[in-house]
Amino acid sequence: MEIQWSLVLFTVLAGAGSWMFVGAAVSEFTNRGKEASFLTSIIAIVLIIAGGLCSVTHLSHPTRMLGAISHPTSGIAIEAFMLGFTCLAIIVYLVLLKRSSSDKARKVVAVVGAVLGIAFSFLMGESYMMAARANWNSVVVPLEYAVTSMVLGVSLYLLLLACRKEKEAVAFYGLPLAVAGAISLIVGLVYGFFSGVTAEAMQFWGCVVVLGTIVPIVCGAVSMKKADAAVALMLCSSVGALVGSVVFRMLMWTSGTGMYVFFNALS
Amino acid sequence: MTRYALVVDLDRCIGCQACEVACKNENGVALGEHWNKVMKVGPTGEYPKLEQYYLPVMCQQCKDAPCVHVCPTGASYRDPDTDVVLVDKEKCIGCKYCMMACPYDVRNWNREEKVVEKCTLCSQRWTADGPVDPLCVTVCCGSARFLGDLDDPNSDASKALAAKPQSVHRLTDVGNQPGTAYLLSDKYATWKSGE
Repeated sequence: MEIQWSLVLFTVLAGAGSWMFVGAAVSEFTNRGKEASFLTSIIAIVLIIAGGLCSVTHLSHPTRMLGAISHPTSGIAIEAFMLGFTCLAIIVYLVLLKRSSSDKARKVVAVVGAVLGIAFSFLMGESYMMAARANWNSVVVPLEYAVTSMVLGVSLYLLLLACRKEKEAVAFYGLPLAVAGAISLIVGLVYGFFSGVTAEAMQFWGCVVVLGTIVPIVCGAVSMKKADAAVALMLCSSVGALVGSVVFRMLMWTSGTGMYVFFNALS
Repeated sequence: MTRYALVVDLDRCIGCQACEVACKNENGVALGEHWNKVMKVGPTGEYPKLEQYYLPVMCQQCKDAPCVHVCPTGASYRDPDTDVVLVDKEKCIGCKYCMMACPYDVRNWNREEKVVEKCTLCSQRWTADGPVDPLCVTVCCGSARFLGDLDDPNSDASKALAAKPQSVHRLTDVGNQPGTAYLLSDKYATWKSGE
């Protein structure tokens, strides 16, 4: 099937934004990188909205989208609602930050926003679980959507912290990044063997596995010891995770052939 | 319950594509687009034992239609009166999810209107008295196509199925329960289009 670039960009950007906000939410509890929470949340919401705009370019009649209210259980409608709820939670969090509200209220909203964001990154992939397309029809597909978003979002969050010279915070979050990369590696391998895309050596092994997971693992681990190189390390991790995220989605589309090809209408 | 669908007797189909042409004329289907298409299956086997049959494909009128489930706006819907799966083009946003979810690749992308379309069983021809045969049934020179209510034993479709119970085949069912049935006798060819 042809790659639907609008949807590739939508899921990459919105997923990354959602997981960047998870970074801000975590900082509420660790007190590391907390000063960057406002900027992180702004970037997160910009990424999510940019992703949403990309998805709209996929529609030929977006003005009819309000019809989703009449069928709220479809995958696209759920994605649209989740995007709105996640953005709403981030906006409330930003307001609370600006008004220096109580820690408790801010933490609660941060957790709600993070949970919504994580669920959103999963549900963006869950929409593709269709019996008609065997190599999409597994929970490993939405899991791969979520974990690639996780590695990219965390990498971008740490890149922001590194640019703000919060070296100690980057060193602290190096281990979580490495763990996120390791989880993504495992899920990625399961996805690869399930869908059969392992035959695409350069794209799967080179981009999804090495750049998308191994590079962030190494960068996360090294950043724990070499805080001075935080910007370079997190830049590498972000670029690797971005390439991995995009190429995984490209592979999903190109490998998503149906049971029958009669009208060939999606080619 | 009513459950309208087509039954196609492949033993009688000669692959003339008259059904395709009639469908295009009746429904204004553009060049290069299809609501109904005749596929050639084969030849298979080894000389002199060669087999080939023609397989006209169109919306399979699934009982549990995935296109209806995934449509975000309800543009793909089941008509409450006839139970026929249809598309309300005025509601279609062009996301193409229904095309991805259709197990049979039998939905058409109307490039001019930028909406999804498909076989309607020519329900625009139906009257208050009931269904009228679609044009593809009317023009079939081999009398190979039958429209009818599968739940009505007296419908043309049900009678065609009852006449050859050993030869009834359907495209692969992945839980969607396709309604369209194909009749192909072993003496002509072995069914190779799924279970």
